[in-house]
Parts: sequence; structure tokens; C-alpha cells
Amino acid sequence: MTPEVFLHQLFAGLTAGAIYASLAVALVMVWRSTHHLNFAQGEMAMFSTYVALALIEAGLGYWTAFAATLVVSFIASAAIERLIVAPVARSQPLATVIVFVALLAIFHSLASWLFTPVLREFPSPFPAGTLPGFPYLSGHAAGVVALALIELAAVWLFFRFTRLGLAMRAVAQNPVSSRLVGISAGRMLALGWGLAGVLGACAGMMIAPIVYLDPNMMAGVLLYGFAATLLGGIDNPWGAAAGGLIVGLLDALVGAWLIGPELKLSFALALIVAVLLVRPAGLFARTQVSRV
Amino acid sequence: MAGHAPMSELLAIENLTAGYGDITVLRDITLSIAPGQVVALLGANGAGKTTLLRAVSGLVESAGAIRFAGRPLSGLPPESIAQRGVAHVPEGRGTFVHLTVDENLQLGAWLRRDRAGIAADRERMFQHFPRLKERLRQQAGTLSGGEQQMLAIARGLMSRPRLLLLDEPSFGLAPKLVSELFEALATIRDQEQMAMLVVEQNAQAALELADSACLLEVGRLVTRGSAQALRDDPRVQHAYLGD
Repeated sequence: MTPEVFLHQLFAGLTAGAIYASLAVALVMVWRSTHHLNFAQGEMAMFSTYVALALIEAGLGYWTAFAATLVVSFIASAAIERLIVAPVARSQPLATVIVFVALLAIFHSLASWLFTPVLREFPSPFPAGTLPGFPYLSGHAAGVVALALIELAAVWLFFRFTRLGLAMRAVAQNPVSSRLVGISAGRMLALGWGLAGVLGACAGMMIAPIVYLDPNMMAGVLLYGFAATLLGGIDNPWGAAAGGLIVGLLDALVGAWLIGPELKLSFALALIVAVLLVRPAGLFARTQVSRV
Repeated sequence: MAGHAPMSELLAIENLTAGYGDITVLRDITLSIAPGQVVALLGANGAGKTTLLRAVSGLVESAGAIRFAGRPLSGLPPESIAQRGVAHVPEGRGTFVHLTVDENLQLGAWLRRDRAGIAADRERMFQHFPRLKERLRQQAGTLSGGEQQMLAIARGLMSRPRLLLLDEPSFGLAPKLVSELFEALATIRDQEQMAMLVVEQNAQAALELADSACLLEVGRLVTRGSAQALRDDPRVQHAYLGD
């Protein structure tokens, strides 16, 4: 592999990895509140991206539409948790999986019905072409990585330094004790879903300029997001984010270098299965420390 | 100790029945606690002691009436009952093991907004339990069992409750730690006039702390009296005091 190809693949892998990382952290947030992987996370992100496109076409500036989409995604996700997921989980925990599958189907067909189901171009807010001095790094790729870092830093600061973030961590660990100190666990779960919706929407809006927007846009991306989540540790947002980067890089480099594009998805997933056989809780799983 | 004018009661339980699904654990319990009064709840394993605490704090559904400071608690979720001033230190302590000691204390004060008061109470907790101050930045899960129990109690007190529900505070602790813990509880009782409902296997320690006590047998309240009277009660002596 020539250095040019290597750099090209490295930056492509980083970009994809940053997007998988956002999605993986979204999956962890939902996992922490419902203890299920949200199969519909990708379709929700795809739908958010359509909302953004509709707002842009209605004449809003890119960043105004971006911000409005995050707000809509937050409210819609939190409402889905409160109105659909929580009541179902209370009456029949296993039915949550069915709800996720139903949400996947609903958002998929809703998007096809509301928006024309053909490949649509989606704008990037970042400079076109490559960056000066970095011939293999496009403006969009650099922007995607920067945005992902900002997102993850914001999430970290929120969990680490705010009262609400502390309460959300408490509810994820011990819902009963949380309620006994007066935290409304239900509200925290809805908040977690809202944040997941925001992260998913970011992932959708960042990948759409690369792969074009259509109702199937997130199908493959979600698979990588699952892989990233499981690889990094499903209970650990930072592990999942690192898992996203690892999956993105491996997929790009191994695909270009060793085996060609046809098998790269299979290779990446096989490698992940291998890792999970050795460390079932993921690479960065938190070691359980407790005494009795 | 038993003031019977209804308005002087902090907690009034009347004809309480509670259980899990089809299984009824508690039947027809009537019990009251005055402000500042410490009541020990004795009984064998499976008598329903934990269920009674869980019914008061809203963790299990119950029928009958529970009034706290004159207002009904029945049907409220646990977080609302906590807001009314009931702090429940559950069986097994319920500490947030992956959070630091400091974060556990902060969560105890979740319902409060008075920063100065919270800071002062935190200092008070360090007086009651000096070890917590030494371990402030440590993950709660790395504390010893006794330290975790102290943390759980301190977390409960951080909400400035009017009633503290304690479920087996001595469970799994070495005898020396048990006496240390009960000394701290006695100080809290005296200094803060804190009403407590204490479930304990260690009847000796519980009866020394309590003003009055009651005995549960298979889900029914069989006797209630002063701590001294219960200590002399042959049923209690036989079952819990080992002679």
C-alpha cells in the first residue's frame, strides 16, 4: 500500500469511526435506561436527517436547521420513551425488543411515505475539497471528526460535572436507591433517550453528505454502531466511543490493505466476535469493584 | 412514650396489608411513630419487617392507610415519599458503588437547593462518621461493609428527613463496628431528634437505641411496648436475646 492510499484510508476510517462513535454512545444511553439495544436508533437518526433536510429546503440556514433538528430529535426520543417504551417495559419487559423492531419499521416507512424515497444529496457545512496542507483530508472529514470530539466532550462534561448528569449515572446504576433519594427515575430515563436521539441525529447529518440520504442510509451504519458498542463495552460510553473509532479504522485499513472491499464488513465483524469471545463484556468494560 | 393524640403522630399506619403479587406478607398492621421517637421492629426472618419499610417508602403496593405528618402516603411513588421527608436506608445498603463517597452524599441532598445548608450537613456527617471524610474521593464500592453502611445512613440524613427507615444496619458487620454504628445512631437520635424505624436482627443493640419496640410474627404485629418491656418479654428473649 502506498503512503497516499494509507493516508486516504486512515482519514476515511477516522471519519467513519467518529460517526460510529456518536451512534455507539447513543446506543449505550438507551442500553443504560432500558437494557436493550435499540434497533431503531439508526432509523430514528435517518428520520432526523430528513427533518434537517426539510428545514434546510424550507429556507433555514444550515446551522439553524441543525440546531432545530437536535431539539426536535431530543423531544421526539424522550416522548417515545415516556409514551411507548416505558409503559410497555413496565407491563412486559421482553416486549421492549418488539417495540424497537416496530419503531424501526415505522420510521422506515414513515420516511419513505413523507419524503421521496430516492437518493438525496445532503449538504455539508464544512469547506468543500481537501484541507490545505493535507491532500487526503477533506474539509468534511475534518469537520466530522471535530464535531464528534465536541459532542463527546460535551457528554462527558455533562455527566461528570452537572447535578442532572450525576442523577442519570445514579439511575443507571441503582434505580431503586435513586428513587429513595427522591430522583424521578422515569424523567432521567426519558432524558437519556433524548440525548441518544441528539447523538443519533448528529451521526445521521454527518454521514448523509458522504453516503447520500435515503431511507436505507443507516442500515449498515447501525451494524457498525452495534459492533462498536459491543466491542467497547455496552455499559461504558467512553469504551463505546473508542470502539467506534477502532471499528472505523479497522474497517477502512483492513478493507484496503488485506482483503479488498467485498469482505471488509465480514472481516470487521468476525474480528469483533473474536474479541468478544476473549472479553465478553467488551474491551473497556468497567471492572466490577465491590465488597460486601 | 406513646403519645396518642393523632396530630402528634409523625407516621401513622392503620390496617396495612402488603405483599408481592398474590403473596400477602403483612396483614392488618397498625403502628404509629411520634416525632423524634425511635421504634425498633423485631421479628424473625420472613416476618415482614423489610416489607413494612418498603410499604412506607412506596416500594411495594399496600392496602390500608399510611399517613405521614397528617397527609396520606398511599399510592405515592418512592420519590414523592422521599420528598415528604422519609429517608429509607435499604437492606444491603443500596449505595451507588461506582460513584464516589462525595457523589453519594450529593445524591442524598438531591431534593435540596440550599447550598450552605447542604455544606453544613456534609460537615455534620463527617462528625458522625469521620471515616467518610477520609474516603471522600473513593468509589463507594471499595469501602468496607461498615463504611458503606455509614455512607448509606449519611446519604439518608443528607435529605434532612423527619423519619429515617433503617433496614438491618448491623448486617454483616463485625461486633466492634456494630457498637460504633449504634453509638453514632444514638448521637443522631439525641442531637437531631430524628425519628427512626429500625429493623434489626441484633435485638440487643436495637432495644438500647429505641424508645419502644414491636414484634412481628409471620406478617402480624403481635406486641408493642417500651424497649424495656420488650427486652423483658419472654417471646423476645426466647427468639432474639439467646436465653
